Amino acid sequence: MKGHTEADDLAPFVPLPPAPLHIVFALNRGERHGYALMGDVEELSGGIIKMGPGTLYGSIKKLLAQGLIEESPARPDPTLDDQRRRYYRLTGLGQRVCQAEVERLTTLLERSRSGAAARLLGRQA
Amino acid sequence: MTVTTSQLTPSSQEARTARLYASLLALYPRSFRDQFGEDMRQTFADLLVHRAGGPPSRVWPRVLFDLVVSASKERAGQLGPRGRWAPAFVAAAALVTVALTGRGGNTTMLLPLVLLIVLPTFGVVQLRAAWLLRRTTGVLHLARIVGGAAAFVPAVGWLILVGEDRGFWIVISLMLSLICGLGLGAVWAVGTLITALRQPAEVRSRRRAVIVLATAVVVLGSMAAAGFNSYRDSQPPAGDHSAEHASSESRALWNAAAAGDLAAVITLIDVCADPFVHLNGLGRARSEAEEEYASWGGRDRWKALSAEGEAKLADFREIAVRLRAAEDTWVQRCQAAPTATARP
Repeated sequence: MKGHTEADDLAPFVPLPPAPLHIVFALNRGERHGYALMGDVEELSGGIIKMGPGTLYGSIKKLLAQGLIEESPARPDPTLDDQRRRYYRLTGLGQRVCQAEVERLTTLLERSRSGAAARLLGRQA
Repeated sequence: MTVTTSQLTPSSQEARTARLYASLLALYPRSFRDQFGEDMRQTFADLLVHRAGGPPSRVWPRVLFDLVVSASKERAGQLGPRGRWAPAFVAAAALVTVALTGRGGNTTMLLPLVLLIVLPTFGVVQLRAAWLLRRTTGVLHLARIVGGAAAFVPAVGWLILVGEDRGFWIVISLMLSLICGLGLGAVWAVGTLITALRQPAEVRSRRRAVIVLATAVVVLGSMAAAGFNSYRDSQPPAGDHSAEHASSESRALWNAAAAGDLAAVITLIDVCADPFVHLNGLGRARSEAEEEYASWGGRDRWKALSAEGEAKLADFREIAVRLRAAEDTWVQRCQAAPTATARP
């Protein structure tokens, strides 16, 4: 029988749906509060994904429940920002899922590109 | 990204917008609001502060659709852990439908409310499963919009009730509920049934099968209920001879009156012996004329009646006046009629 692998551990999480995927990628840059996450997701997606607060916190709720992110104990400087603002960060599992997603998407992209290149060469031949 | 406290000081217009958004958060389940309500208000306030100029209402296009979709999802997700009740709940709705079929005109008003409770929530979940492989297509999107609209119709109806014409808007609200509820139910049932044919594994479980069957019963049953009620309402009550007379006479009276021939109406009345039946028939004819008149007159609010409409309105006004006069005459004749001819 085949041994238990890292991929098996992450199988329930990968692939992530688009909104949580972008949130995980945004949190991979560092701790973020809600509005900052919205901005990062918009920037990461090239302006294609513009989340509203409902989608954002719905996704955060799922990611918290899955144990991929957690609330950070850090609080902003009260002179700069509202101290009630909550910051989120990736957990260890979240970082592994993020890495797995990067690898999955990289592989997908490479295969897609090689397929397109092969088709192009076939046409030229 | 940092937001300074000074930036967060809202104008009165922004404060009103923020309050409205805070009120709309009631659409989310309580547990979700307790966990994220404050954060969502804060994020919305950030959106207001950082909007690229213009009035605060500029943020709504981004927020409103998101609010409808995500609130529907959260409501649906809330039902997830209680999913085992879904078949029983939908089956109960189906039984209620069957039991109420033909029981009265209100059935068709009650059923959409049942459908509205059940379908927008379960419907989104089921459609998501049913159309999983094609979820980026417009079908699921459409279902979400219809589901969201169906869920909001009663709320919109109640909002409108603060204005005038309450009765009118209640009817419109209920009719929209009926259309949305039945429409969503039909979309859901058809989508799931198609999936059952194309992807049997998706609906192999007994639970799903019960939901699909029960939904079909609810949708088809409510249509039957509406049809039966409509048919029954057009029939005079059995055994009530005078009512039959009044009903047929009323139609004849109305036809004659609509043609402007009051003499024919009076002749028709004179053929019959029972003055109370005449009175009943006349009364109905007059009320029909007056209702018709009112419905034409009611269009004043939109103005711009065509010349034909104006002429018809004048006709109805005249007919209603003449029928009222005829009715008064008959009332006097009834009062003068001997007791022997009076209806017991």
